[in-house]
Formats: sequence, structure tokens, C-alpha cells
Amino acid sequence: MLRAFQIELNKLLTWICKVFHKNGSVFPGSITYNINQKILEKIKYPKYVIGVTGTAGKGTTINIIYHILKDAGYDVVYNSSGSNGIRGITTFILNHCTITGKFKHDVLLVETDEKHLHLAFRKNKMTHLVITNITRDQLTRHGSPDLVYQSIMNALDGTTTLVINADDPGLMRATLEHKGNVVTYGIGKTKDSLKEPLSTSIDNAYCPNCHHKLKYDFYHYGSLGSYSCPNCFFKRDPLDYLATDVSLEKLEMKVNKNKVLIHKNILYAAYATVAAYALCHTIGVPEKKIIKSLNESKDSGKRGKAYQLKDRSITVLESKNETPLSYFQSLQYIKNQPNKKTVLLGFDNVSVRYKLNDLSWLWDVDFELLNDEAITNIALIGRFKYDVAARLSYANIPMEKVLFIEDFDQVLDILEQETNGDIYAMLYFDKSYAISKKLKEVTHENV
Amino acid sequence: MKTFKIAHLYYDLMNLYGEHGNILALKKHLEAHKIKVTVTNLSLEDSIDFKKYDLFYMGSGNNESFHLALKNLLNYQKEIKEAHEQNKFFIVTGNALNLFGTSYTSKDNLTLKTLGLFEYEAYETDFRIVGEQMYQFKKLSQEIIGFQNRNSVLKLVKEPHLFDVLEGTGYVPKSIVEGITKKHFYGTYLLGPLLIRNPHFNEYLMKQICKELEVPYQEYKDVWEEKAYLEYRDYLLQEK
Repeated sequence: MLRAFQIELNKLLTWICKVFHKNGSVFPGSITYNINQKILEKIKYPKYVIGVTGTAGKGTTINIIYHILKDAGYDVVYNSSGSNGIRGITTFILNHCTITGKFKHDVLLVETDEKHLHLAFRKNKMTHLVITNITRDQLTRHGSPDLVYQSIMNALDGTTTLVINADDPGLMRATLEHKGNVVTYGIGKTKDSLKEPLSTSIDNAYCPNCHHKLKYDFYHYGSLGSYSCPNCFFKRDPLDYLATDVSLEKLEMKVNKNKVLIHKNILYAAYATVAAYALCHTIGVPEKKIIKSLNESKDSGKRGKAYQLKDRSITVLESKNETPLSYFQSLQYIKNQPNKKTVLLGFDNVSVRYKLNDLSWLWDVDFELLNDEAITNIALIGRFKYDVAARLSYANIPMEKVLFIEDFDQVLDILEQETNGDIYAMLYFDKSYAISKKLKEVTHENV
Repeated sequence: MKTFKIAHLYYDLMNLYGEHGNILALKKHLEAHKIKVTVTNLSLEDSIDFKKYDLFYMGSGNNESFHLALKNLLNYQKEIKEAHEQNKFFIVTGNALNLFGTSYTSKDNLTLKTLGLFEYEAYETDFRIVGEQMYQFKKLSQEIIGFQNRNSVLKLVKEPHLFDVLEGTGYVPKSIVEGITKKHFYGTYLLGPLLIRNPHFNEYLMKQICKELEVPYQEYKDVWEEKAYLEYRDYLLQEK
């Protein structure tokens, strides 16, 4: 009775949000969840309940999985709003239930915040869970990455099949601890692979089984790469799904010797693709269908939103504050773009989730990447611009390249008059939204 | 030119929260004072010779790293005590501070013996202490700023404290003092990184190092560190 009420209330609230043009991806679930937090335990789930979690790449990965399953003829829905906390998940799941609490589709596909899995799947467990990676992220909220891993593992029992990124030794620990099946994927050596880690500040340098130092054949970034323990059996290889011949220039790679397209020229897109491949094949989608779907998809291939400022292109990227390896990949993306360029960095707040401003993560990002001749100017805005400047000075970046924008209203004028080359603005939400709005006013979106 | 040898202890285990920035800050300031610097990264698989170095730095680690470091450090109990008595420098930040007292008691009430260099006891808590901090160091007029992110407290401290708490948390949530200092040991839960965010405190250390090395001291100021410090301090003062 209560269940039916909660389901109908959730649907009603979602409808009201829609009528008033409000974002209804979280609010209805927060009301229904507060009425009875056990509501999701009372849902009759379909044959496949697939979760996607991890520090970075959840959204990209789930989007690819969804398209493959759809193209293969599955009746599947997912929380495309990106609202991945317990309240967003409650909204999403209840909206797809009958009044008797039966989930209406054959596949429930759900992106879930790492710390909310155990709330969403208390009693009914997922049949499959993809974990993309667990790296340093929002430590103000998470404490340390191992606590995130523990929180995920607490949401599982032996009935869940894990699909994990085995390049991450912190995740590979699951092969020692998880009672159910574990499927592994990873990426083989690329032309950008490193012999030594970029920084000494990496997680998981030691074997989780016997605590000897892991030996690496190569690193992709952070502690992701191909490793083995010199003392025991713990190692990455062999993998169930290995992506090889990764070419970010040609946007293609091979998975188990089949050529597939990558949709963005950045390594995390390759990870998302091989993760989706592994998950879909694990639940029984024929490889032929997976490959066809991946190779027919029409994604833009570019990162961020592109605009035109007079004769210069300006790309607005999200600044992944507090997630050093994601931030690093964005810097690497900028560095790898052709032509001379200007980089605009900044934020007024470290996080949208909390008011605390911890800046320690700046020192876990390899800003040394920006020490590049093609980067002619670095413009800094926001409350903590001098902290970023201090970090840049330690990266040996010539400080005469660096300029400070005090007044946000003048940002476009200053960029136009005092900098050169293509512009890459890597800003946190508080600023990226404002600059995108400005750009839309003065120019046209260049899609 | 005098050489100053830094040992970065458990660099690949005790390295959360960007704390290798402290090593960078030490190096930059020492070089500005015309002191030659070497930095040696040391960890579990090295045999550590405490006689060879002038300064030992150690930062924060997760629970497993903390226990691995503790087990390994106990092999050097005597050497560490000697090094401290010989006026060598120890800079210890985050939960590494829990290693230098007499014991560490985990949430499940298991008590482990720690280095015993100082008299205090560390306790794991089932809550985390997270937030911006403002302290006073009695030998400097300008405040100390930084961040905390920990799940432990210090109790029964019978040693001199390093900082007075202006805003934030001390040994335990309501304590008004924080950190441990004795001879050239400087230990604090403060993150930041401490020495990047507080260039004046780094310079205080430089003064002590110059004294030990018998080289003249002349204050060095890094323009970006100074600006960052002042802006953030003013932001904190405004928020309070």
C-alpha cells in the first residue's frame, strides 16, 4: 500500500516538475525516499540490474552501454540525467515501475555514486557492476580512495558479477576479495605509455596481497598500467578484454582483435568503450552486434563545447577540481591539441557539494604539462588564482606567460586583447556556466 | 656551499593530500638560501640509514599504508631517537603524527605500540575531522592556515604543542592546541601542503636550518606563495 503510494507520488512530483520546467531528477525521489527509505527493497527487479560506478568515466561508459544494448534490441532504460545519488536513483527507478512495484523494462541500467551503492542496493543486489577506476577524488568528502573501495564492496554479495578496470591495481584487489565472478578489462601499451609514473604520489604502489612493491611494464597515468607482484601471483594479466592498438589520432582501437571506434580523442574514452564492450559481451550480446553498434555511433569526437571568439576558437571544458587524474587528463587533452593556445583556468569554489575549500589536490595534479612552448598564455581567474599561480611557478612555467583576470566581466575582452592562439577554458561549474552564457551572447555556438 | 640532505620517508605510501608539495617547498627555499639540497625517496624496501640525512619528512597515508609504515618504522626506533637527540629535523604532517607517540588504538580497540619518541597516545575515531584551520605559531605574528582531514585524535599529550588553535580543531575536537614540537621535531595534522601554504613558517624552519649549518640567514619571500597566503587568509578571516 505504502509502496504504491510512494510510486504514484514519485510520478506525480516528476510530472509537476516537468509542467513547471524544473529539474525533476532528484526532488521526487528525495520526498519518497524520506517517507520510507526501504522503498527500493520492495521493487521487483528485472533479470538484469546493471550498475556503473567509479571515480571518473561513469557517464561516458553508461552512455555507450545503453546504446549497445538498445541497438542489440534490449528493452533498457538508464538514469541519463546523471543524478546518481540515492535520491536521484529513487526518482529514476520508481518512475519506471508499475503500481504493484514491478520494474517495467528488461534491463535496469543505473549510474551510481560510489558512496550511494550500499544505500540503493541494500537488499536487492545488482546482477552486474562496472567499476571504471577508483582514484583520489573529493577527499574532503571521501577521506581516501580505499574508503571508497570499501564502500562499494559493502554493497555487493556473491551474486553480483563485477566488471572491473584491471589496469587499476586498487580495483584488481577485488579479485582477492569478491565472492562472485570478476570480469577484467584494460588497455595495452600505447605510444603515450610511460616507463615511470609521472609523480611519486600514486595510490596502490604495493601488492594488496603480500605488500611487496608492484613492478610495472608501463603506466598509462597515475597507478593505472600493467603491473605484477614480484613476490606472489597478483598481477594484471591475463585480461578478459584487452584493448590494443589504441590510436587517439585515428579514434580507433582493437578489442580482442576486433576493430572498434573510440568516440573522443582521450584515453578515458577508450576505457569507457572497452568497459562497455566487456559488460555487454558478459551478459550475452554477440560481439558482432557490439562492434556494429560502436562503429555506427555518431558522436562528436571532441571534448567540451566549442565557440568562436572573433577569429579564434574557444573551447569550454569542465574543471575536475579535486580529482587529480581527471584534471590531468584534461590538461593532457589541451596540450595535445594543435596550434598555439591560451589556457584559462579557475574557480571560486573548490566544490559545489560543500563550502570547504581544500586546495591540496592542486599538488597532486601534474601542472608541469602546461610547461609547453605552444601554450603562449595562461590566464587565471577566481578566488584562488594565486594558489594556482604558486602551483604553476613550482611547475617551472615562465610566469611572464601568466596573467590574472580580476574582473569576470572583462574576461572575454582581456582574452581577446592580451592573449594569443586557440583558447581552452577549463573552469569549474561556477565559472564555466557564466562564461558559456557570455559566449552565447556575443557569438554563435560552433558545433 | 653547504649540502642539506632530505629523506622523504615512505614517499610511495604516506603521500595523500598533495603533501609532496612540502618537499618541493623545502627544496625551493633551501636553494634560495644558497644551500645545496638532496632529496632521497625511501620506503619499505630500503634500508634507511638515519645517520645520513639532516631532515626527515613524512606525510599522510590511508589505513593500510599507515600500518605498513608503522611496522617498518619500528625497526628504526633507536636510530630515530638518536637522530632527534642530535638535533636533526623531523617534519611530520597528517596522520604520520600518530606514529611518534607511545601507542595507536584503532576503532576496534586494538592498541599498537608506536615509536615512543614522545609521550602521547593516538586514537582512531569513528568520525572524520575535516575542515579549514587557522592557528597561531608563537614565534610568528602571521597566522598559520591549512586544512585537516583525519580520523584520529591525540590524548594524554605530555609534550609542548606546536600551534594554538584560532579556528578549527586541536588534538581532540574541543582542544585549543595542536601539533607537537620538541627540539627540531615539528609534527601537525595540518594539510595544505603546510609549507607551501605558510611560506613564513617555512622561512622559520629555514632560519633554524641556517643556524644548524652555520650559514647566514636572510629572509626569502616567494611572490606567489605570499600572495596566495594573504588572499586565502583574508578569505578565511572574512568567512569567520
